Amino acid sequence: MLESFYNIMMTDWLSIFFVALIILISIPICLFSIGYVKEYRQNYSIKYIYSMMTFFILSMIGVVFSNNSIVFMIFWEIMSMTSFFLVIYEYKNKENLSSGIMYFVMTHISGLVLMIMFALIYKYTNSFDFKEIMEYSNKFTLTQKTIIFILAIIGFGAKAGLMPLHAWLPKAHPSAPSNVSALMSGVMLKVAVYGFIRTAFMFLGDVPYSYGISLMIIGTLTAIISILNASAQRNMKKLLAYSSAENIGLIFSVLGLAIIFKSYGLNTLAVLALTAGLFHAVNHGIFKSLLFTAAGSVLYSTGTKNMNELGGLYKKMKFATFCAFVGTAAISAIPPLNGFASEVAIFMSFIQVAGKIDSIWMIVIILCGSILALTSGAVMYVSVKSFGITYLGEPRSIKAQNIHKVPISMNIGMGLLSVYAILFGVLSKFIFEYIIKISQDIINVGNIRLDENTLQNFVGFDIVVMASIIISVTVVFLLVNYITRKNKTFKVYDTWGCGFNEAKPYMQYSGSGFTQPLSKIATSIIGYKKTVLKEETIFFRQHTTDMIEKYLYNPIISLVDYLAIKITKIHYGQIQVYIAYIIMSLIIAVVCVVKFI
Amino acid sequence: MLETILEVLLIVTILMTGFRRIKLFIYAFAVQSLCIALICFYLAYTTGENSLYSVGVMTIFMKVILTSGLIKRVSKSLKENREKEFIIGGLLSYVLCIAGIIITYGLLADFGPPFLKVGVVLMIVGSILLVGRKEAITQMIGFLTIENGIVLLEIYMVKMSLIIEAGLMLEVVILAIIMGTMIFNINREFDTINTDTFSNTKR
Amino acid sequence: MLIYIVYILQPLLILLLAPLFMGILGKVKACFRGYTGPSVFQVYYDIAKLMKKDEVISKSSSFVTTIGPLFTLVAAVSCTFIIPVFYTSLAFSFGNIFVIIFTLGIIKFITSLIGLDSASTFGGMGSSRELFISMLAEPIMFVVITFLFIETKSFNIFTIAYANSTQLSFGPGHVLAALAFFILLLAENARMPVDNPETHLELTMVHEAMILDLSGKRLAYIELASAIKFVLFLTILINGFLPYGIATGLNLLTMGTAIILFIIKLIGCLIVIAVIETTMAKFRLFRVPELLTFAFALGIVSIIINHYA
Repeated sequence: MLESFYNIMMTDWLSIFFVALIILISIPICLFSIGYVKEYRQNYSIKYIYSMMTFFILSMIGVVFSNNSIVFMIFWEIMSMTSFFLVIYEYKNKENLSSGIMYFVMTHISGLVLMIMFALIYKYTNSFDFKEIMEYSNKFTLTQKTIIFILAIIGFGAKAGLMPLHAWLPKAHPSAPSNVSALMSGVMLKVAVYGFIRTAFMFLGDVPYSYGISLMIIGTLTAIISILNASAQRNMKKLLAYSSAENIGLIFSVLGLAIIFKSYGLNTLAVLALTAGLFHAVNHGIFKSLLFTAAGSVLYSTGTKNMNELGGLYKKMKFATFCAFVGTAAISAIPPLNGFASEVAIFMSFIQVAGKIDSIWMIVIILCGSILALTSGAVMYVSVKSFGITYLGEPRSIKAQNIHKVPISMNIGMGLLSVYAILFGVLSKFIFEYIIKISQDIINVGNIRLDENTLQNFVGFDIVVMASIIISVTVVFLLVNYITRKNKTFKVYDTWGCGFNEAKPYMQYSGSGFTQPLSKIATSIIGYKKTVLKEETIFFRQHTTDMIEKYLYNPIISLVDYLAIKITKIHYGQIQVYIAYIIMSLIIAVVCVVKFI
Repeated sequence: MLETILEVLLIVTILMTGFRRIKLFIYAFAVQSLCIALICFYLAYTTGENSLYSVGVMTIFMKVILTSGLIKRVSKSLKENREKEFIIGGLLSYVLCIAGIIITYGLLADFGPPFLKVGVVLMIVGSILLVGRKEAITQMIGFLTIENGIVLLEIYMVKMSLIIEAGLMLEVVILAIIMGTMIFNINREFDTINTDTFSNTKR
Repeated sequence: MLIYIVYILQPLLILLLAPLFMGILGKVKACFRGYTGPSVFQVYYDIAKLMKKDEVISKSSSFVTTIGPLFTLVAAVSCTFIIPVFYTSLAFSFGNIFVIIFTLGIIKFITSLIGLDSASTFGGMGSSRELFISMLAEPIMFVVITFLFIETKSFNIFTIAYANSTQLSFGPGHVLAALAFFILLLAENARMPVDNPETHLELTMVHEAMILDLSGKRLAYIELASAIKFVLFLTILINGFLPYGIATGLNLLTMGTAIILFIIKLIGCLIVIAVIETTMAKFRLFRVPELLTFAFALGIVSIIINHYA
């Protein structure tokens, strides 16, 4: 019986790696959900959210394990459906319904494009089975490869959140309950990355380097525009959603770089770049889920998501603050946590272009790398804002002072994710070597020999050395600190205000003020508008909009609206007309099929 | 040695796109011309063409001393000594400069010696200054930078060119005199040399 | 046997002499300005005085203020172990330059959180400006590391120092990259013209504003960590870009001359920084991006010149 399982599942290393990722991250989130759904006990049905989450996780495992185009699409659609129902879980809030419908439309656009892609693959290779398509990979012609690649970028990119199809992310993630946001952001986006790697690397085989360059530029643009939008948000979960889009852009840039290396024949560097991308996918799943679950516990305790009303949560929520601190440090690339290991691996892959690729594209790749370095700096800015304004300081409003106690299962879930973050950072050397074996399987160039030179160019050993130095120096200093502590006192008193002693909580920096310098130099990208009125009192309002949504989506929606109104004219209301329409369209469809296939 | 002088020239040129004070522009232009004179001397020493020595001496005399001195005298009588607002300035001019350098080095990759590419870069920077600023003196400095770039190009292309070099130097000095007189008179008449006010004179 | 002495002596040299170099910088600045100024050992006296004092901790603060400063000192000291000061060879297997720069970034991260922790306006302002400036300084770091990789084909700082000191003529673009790294050093270490380290007016503070509320032992830790970070950046500048002088063999004579040459080069850099601090005023906040874009332009041009030469 086990053999029959073997025939219906895809059992190469890529699938197993992603299933391990899904299960690894789902376990703490499920532990977190046990405590979190207590909030919904009065108004909504709890059996509904538990059953939908189970189906969601199982459908994602089904997508990754499927070895057949049709089974893939079935599980993909089940995944879209269950996530849509989870997004509109709090249906009593009208805003959630409209975000849910936008998410529904975008995910079905992605499903539609993927169906067209798989249909075209069937037409070229005459088979639905993944293994047979992979063997056919070098017999596609160049135009066929281009069409499949473009459809894959649109289809998987709409699900993962690439420009310009990312507008559903900042709407769907804040509307969903926090554990669902953690699942969607940490795991579902990685399933889209899995689908893209399966198509671009294994179905298409060798592709020209222009594909890689366009993918890298799309990924870089996604990263920089998303993080600039993230810096202007007040809503904690919207900020984290934009930050997810930035990391996905980073992963896709590195995948583009791997395609470029492979097309130039530099197989060792291609394997190392792909490994960096996969490692970053795992790490992003871990620390983004950690940050979303921390945001969920803040929402549970205080009832608000607006950072300008929070502050000073450290006093009553010590464990959650500590876990959020680990998550913030991980996303800002602080050694020796896991975000640092994968970011440095990505930067080193970018720099190793120099000297190996000998044309003008090297300068373009270095420019993209420096823009990604800029986004890494901006990530530290945005995550310090999100952690510092929410948890540190004094409470800025009454909502932050009346705090409910957090159930212990939520703390266990967050604590488990923090332990993952630390472990994956310190032991990154071993995990990296394990993922290299997976990438070799994907790129299929046989065993590359990792000699001293190339392994030295990757950072795992240094992290182990640095972590051990940090631990030993910490121990020494803690001892010195303890020994010199004996005969001194310290006093706890008000903050020094340069002689002004009536400091109120609203005199602290607010979230919007903290990132105002960045909003000021990037005005046109984030649509920043400031209104200052000086009548009886000074009135100040600032407002940011998502420019892509305003200039790309709204015209298309108005166009579709207009056409829909025009087309309504063909509804006469009499049943005979409708039957005539059906018969006519049936005849046309049969003629098309006979003539063109 | 040549590489180091070219690097200093590039540093001064890129720095020039971001300046606002007119005094700094004059100093940067003087340093630029000095670097070009040093390049002329170095090339004359290595290739043995004695005409380049005189080109270098003429450059020092005409550009570094005469032209800078003339512009400095004119700028002493101006009321404002810096740019308040501009069309292309600050961050955007640096970004355009980087883009221009990348395109130049990409298109002219194997074409000639390095100072050819630096000459084209000088011309690009001069055009950014000419088009993107509002004060007339800065536009003049931009034009003079384009002239400097043409000198660098021309050292490579035409060999026995003493007369052409002399003609260029003369043209530069005459240009400086004419523009200096014009700016002096315009300043005396309208009390400003901001070119926004000039468009008010059309009907 | 001698190699173990080197392993211990290199970090000890930086740890013990960092405050002395800050004192020398203060003395040179005072000399330019025409007054006698504090003695060169003043920073040692300051740190000893702060260690002896009692502390006042703000009641709005959290574990970040309580154990954060210790971790900044730990990060700074850990970096001193893996940087070449006067001895280098090709046999070191650790010392990746990214690890060094990101570990020094821990200091920036923790001081920004300390700034927000004290619930005062000054702290938030300091954190906001500091993170804004260092965000714009990250591309410069990327471009300079790319240039070093192109020149020496390695990310290991020991190999870079070895290649730098044994070459007598440099490839094109070296001066540009050195100038770009110098501007990065000014931006990251709160020097003029990006930030004034001697001011106490809130309009002009960036680094001082974040640590305004600390006192006693914790302030001493952060001051010492900032001094060590400054000297570490100067060491990377000297060993990565300025030629001659580092010891590559294990005998006492070359190592002795290497230490003396290192100190002379460091004092030379300090004199240049003192001239800049005395002659320039601090830029306003929205002119700092222009300065950093200029440094980025220099870095990119250095790569282009090196590639096409």
